[in-house]
Amino acid sequence: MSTFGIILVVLSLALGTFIAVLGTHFSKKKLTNKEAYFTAGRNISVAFMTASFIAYAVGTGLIFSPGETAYTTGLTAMIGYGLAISLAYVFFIPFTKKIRQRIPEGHTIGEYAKARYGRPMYLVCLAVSIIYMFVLLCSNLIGAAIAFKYIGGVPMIISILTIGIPTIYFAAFGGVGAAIFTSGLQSLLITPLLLIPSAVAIFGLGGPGAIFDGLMEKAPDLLKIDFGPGVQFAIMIVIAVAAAEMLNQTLWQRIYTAESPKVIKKSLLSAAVMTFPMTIIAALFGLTAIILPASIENTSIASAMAISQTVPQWACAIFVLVVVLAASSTGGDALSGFASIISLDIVKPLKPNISAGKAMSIGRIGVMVCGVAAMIVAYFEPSILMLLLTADLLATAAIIPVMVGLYSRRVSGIWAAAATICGILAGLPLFGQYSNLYSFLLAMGTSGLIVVVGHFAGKKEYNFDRLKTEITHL
Amino acid sequence: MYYSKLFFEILVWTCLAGLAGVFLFQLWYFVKDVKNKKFW
Repeated sequence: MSTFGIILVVLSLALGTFIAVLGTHFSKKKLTNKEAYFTAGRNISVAFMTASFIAYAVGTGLIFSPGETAYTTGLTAMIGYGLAISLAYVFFIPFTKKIRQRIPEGHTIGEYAKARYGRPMYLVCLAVSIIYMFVLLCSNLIGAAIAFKYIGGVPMIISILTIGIPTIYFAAFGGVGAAIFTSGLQSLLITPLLLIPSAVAIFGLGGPGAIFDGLMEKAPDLLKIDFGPGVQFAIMIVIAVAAAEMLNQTLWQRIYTAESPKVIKKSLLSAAVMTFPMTIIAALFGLTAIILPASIENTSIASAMAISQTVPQWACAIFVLVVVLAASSTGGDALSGFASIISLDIVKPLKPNISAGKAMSIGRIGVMVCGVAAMIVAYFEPSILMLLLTADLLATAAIIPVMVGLYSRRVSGIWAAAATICGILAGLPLFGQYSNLYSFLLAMGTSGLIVVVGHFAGKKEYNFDRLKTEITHL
Repeated sequence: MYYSKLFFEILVWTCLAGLAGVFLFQLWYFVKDVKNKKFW
């Protein structure tokens, strides 16, 4: 490992530990009761909520996947990625209002699925949520480790531990409050730290005009508005990200932690506007990688390679800090979501009289186990984009059945579970082979069609008041 | 049909400026919430 690599590890460890300790300390002060471990007192304001949505979006998924997309499928796909991340928050707004109205004392998506649909859909929903959260955590650890490896020559195992341990610490001991507090801090730091190396790289390459000319010379197809793979990817990623975010335990948890539905709406709108430029700038590194002389052995590292070759070492160090912040904020969010899923969705239904204190302890153990498992998977360095897309496909199949349950009284659990499973089965054969867009459309179309049939075939009417009586404070 | 160089330049410069705007907006909102004692 080079001296620069050692400096990166020390800097990252110092930053990660500082934020983790501060977040845990602040959260513990606010942990007035054990319920607050999962809901942060249901009192979060617009500033923290917005920061939390931004920091959640700006994981290494945002730092590296749009870059990988731009590198492989061009400018249309890159703009599509930016729109996808923004629009996901906009699409979510009407549902958040309904969720708060129907389930004012909720904690997780699983408890909703269980109360609304019963056991079969609850199990399906739980499986999809767990896979998605785990993939999210893994992809963030991989992204961070890749940045360390290609910028500082740091071995994967050291970088995974450098990011993983402080993140597991604050998620396990501070709960969702620590995740939100650290997200606030990270969000404030990420924007200027991303701006600096981006500006240095853009100016260093002679400005956007020079990058455009280089692309026109080396890969003009990627600058075509109607470049087939780019257009298909853009449509697919809007569907995929919207579905995945709406079915994401981290975001459902945020809905319950906000002070009011108005705070959620304002925060989601602000985050939607703010994440677009961040995605585009992050993706620009992927386009930049195309015009560089070095060949890229793994598309996931396109952004890291572009950074390491276009900016001086001090700017590289700043970029690595952005990656550390991004990975630990989204990773922490995923882990705090895990705590809720494990203790409230898995253990509580098995032991209904479990105390809030015990639920919290089980959540902590769950966070540690999942964190270690994700670190092991990340070590093998699978493609971040493919990992995220696989999880997105599952979410795409589940999203309509889950959300329809908030509006339709007549769709039963069996219909909802069958719709999700059939959607996954319909989408899987095409996934990764011919076109991922058709795979996502088939998954969503099949599950949507079955839910519509279920609505008209359903005879029993569900009483929505049951959600209020069956889902209460711990 | 290709994207024009002008479109690309506007996109990049706007997003770069947007990034600076995001930071200032967040800072302003934090200060506002702290002043109104709505920090948490």
